[in-house]
Amino acid sequence: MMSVYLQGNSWAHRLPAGLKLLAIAVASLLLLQYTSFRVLLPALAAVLLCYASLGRDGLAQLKLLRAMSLLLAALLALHWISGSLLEGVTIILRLAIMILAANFVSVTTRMDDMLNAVQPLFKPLEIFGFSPRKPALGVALVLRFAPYMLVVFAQLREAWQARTGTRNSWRLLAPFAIQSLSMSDHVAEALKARGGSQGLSR
Amino acid sequence: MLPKRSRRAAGRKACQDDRKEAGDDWLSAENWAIPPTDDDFHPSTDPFGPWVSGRPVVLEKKVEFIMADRSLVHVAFYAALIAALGLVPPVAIAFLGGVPITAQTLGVMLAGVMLGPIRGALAVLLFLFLVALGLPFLSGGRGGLGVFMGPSVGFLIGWPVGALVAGWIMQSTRELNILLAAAISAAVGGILVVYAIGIPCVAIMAGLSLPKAALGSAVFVPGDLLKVALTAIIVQTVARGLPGAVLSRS
Amino acid sequence: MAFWPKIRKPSAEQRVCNPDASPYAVFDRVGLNAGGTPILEDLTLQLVEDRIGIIGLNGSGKSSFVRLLNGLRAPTSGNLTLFEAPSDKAELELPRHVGFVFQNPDHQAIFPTVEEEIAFGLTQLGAGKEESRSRARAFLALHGCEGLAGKPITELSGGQKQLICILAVLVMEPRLLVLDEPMSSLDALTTARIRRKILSLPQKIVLVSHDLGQFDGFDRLLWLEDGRLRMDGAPDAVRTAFQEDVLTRKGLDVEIAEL
Ligand SMILES: Nc1ncnc2c1ncn2[C@@H]1O[C@H](COP(=O)(O)OP(=O)(O)OP(=O)(O)O)[C@@H](O)[C@H]1O
Ligand SMILES: [Mg+2]
Repeated sequence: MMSVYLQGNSWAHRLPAGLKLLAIAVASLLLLQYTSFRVLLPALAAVLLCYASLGRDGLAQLKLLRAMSLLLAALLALHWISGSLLEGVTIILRLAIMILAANFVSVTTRMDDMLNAVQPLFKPLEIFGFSPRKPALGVALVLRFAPYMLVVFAQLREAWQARTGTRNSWRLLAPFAIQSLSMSDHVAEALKARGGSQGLSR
Repeated sequence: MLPKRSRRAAGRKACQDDRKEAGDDWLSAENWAIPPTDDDFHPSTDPFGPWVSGRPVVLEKKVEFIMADRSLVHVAFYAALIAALGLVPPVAIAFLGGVPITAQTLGVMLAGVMLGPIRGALAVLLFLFLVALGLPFLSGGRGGLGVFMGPSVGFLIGWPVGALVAGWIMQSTRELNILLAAAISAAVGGILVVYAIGIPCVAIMAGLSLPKAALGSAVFVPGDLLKVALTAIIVQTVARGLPGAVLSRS
Repeated sequence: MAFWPKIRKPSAEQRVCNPDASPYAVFDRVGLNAGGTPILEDLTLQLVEDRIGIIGLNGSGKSSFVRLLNGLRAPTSGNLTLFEAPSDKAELELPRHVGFVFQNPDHQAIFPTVEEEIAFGLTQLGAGKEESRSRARAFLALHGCEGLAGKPITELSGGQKQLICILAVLVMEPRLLVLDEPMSSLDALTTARIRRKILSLPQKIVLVSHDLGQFDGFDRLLWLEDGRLRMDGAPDAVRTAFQEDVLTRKGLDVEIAEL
């Protein structure tokens, strides 16, 4: 399944997902308290070390920084213009650390484990009649629908192209909406035919 | 043979009209506070078509049973739409200053306007939940917890609120022309609200003053206006072809 | 938030269905209306046999008829008894006893991957997550599909999809398997394979099909026309009568648009 998750069996992969999530939350809150380089630079080094400990593939994940570089550069420029360059550098450093650290958790945690780790958070909603199975079912449905939508659109575009010779048209939007919506109706029916989101183990 | 066929055709048409008239009114979130009673429940408003028996007990059970799941499916559907739109490559339109425009917020506006406040917001939340779980569904193939640490997280937080407001406006302007109502809802919910939450967040996260942060975000407004127009057109088209699908007001 | 309505959970003692019931469905002057138009009218019959086929022209009400069997539709008149319980009382339990395979597998699959799709049926019946995953894999292997387990549903061929949909229902071990034109988009070889699989099942089967050859070896064939039961009997007799009637029907040369 497509995901930012990186297959592996490193120390970080083996840590329980809940622990990793908790750690990242606490670390982010702590980091927001500090602006001194004496804290930020070691933190950055620690995060980079974490990535390095995953090996070559881990370091390749740092490409994330490149994607962010434009945004961060723009922020730095804005700070420079307003004459707070040093502040800008610390802030960007902090952002980079937080983003990299959080991403590290995503890279080393399977989606399923993450889902299981947060499942208990939905438990209190049960008193509103909200079944804790729903978030997981919702996630599965999204993963089912999203590729299907692309297929529907591709088919419509082919049919359109076959008859008009042109490729895209806004006129495809309506049939696309109607076809994919009708699919969701059918899936709702199929869900019901197999016992619905509540299950049959009552 | 023929009389029977035409009888059926007429019946089919009648029941379509029926549906339009009675609408899927009870699908809207506000009707969820109280389970629909016998009176405000028209038999032909069964979501699977006008099939329901007249027995109230069955109806109530059926409503409870189907509706929760159908809502879930609708919510998931729009969450998937937002994800699919994230795969549309950004277009840079020259006369808008060459700023890349992504299609993703179009999905957010559509979710609010089509589903109504609660389900619309839930759809966006479900989408963000998937992104947080590590799926690279955010435009540009981004995903994972990292995206929630960036300076633009305020916009992500703004999305569900924007969808909520858009759905709420859509729902409370039933008398208004659907094109206009959709445009207003999408503009207020999808732009005003989202920026009102997003800009202060940029300011805080990036240590900038509010005006500077606003200036930096303003480049995306023209693209968003384009999406508002698209939302309105799509909603109007769907309302014509499949009125039951505009759950926020049908 | 009353948005997610609370579901009243019937407890075990409230179970109303008898899975071993014979006949499993009793129709007593059952009718089904859609907005005042009759879709099914005055059906009186009992379903007992292991293999029952249903034929009829397009729009004759076959799909509506089989949807009555698993509670997706409720009759608007007459009495329908399913597994010895009135259909409206049985509704919540029916998905457990009646497996339903829809015509279009794209409309049936709920989950992104094959394994999850199969495992869902088991979690529905109360199995834990890990347990259902491993049982799903074992079940796939049992039916020679272990290679498909991790595949996304969207990447399967039409026949594979249809097979997975059938397996996803079978894994719940229903007493009755309802198949609404399951073979309509499959090639001859896949059709033959799936047919052999279906016929080898211990379940009772109700099969809707336009391909009259599918009903070889069936115990009973129902012929629906305009929502009524036109003929009911041994497959050969019904098939012959159906073919004769359709082919000699007046208006065969009428333009299709006038239909
Ligand atoms: N939701 C609905 N609302 C109104 N009429 C409907 C609905 N669904 C089906 N019908 C009508 O009921 C009749 C029977 O439909 P049904 O789908 O049961 O036929 P079928 O025998 O399965 O046909 P096919 O061979 O094409 O699958 C048709 O005339 C159809 O137009
Ligand atoms: Mg049919």
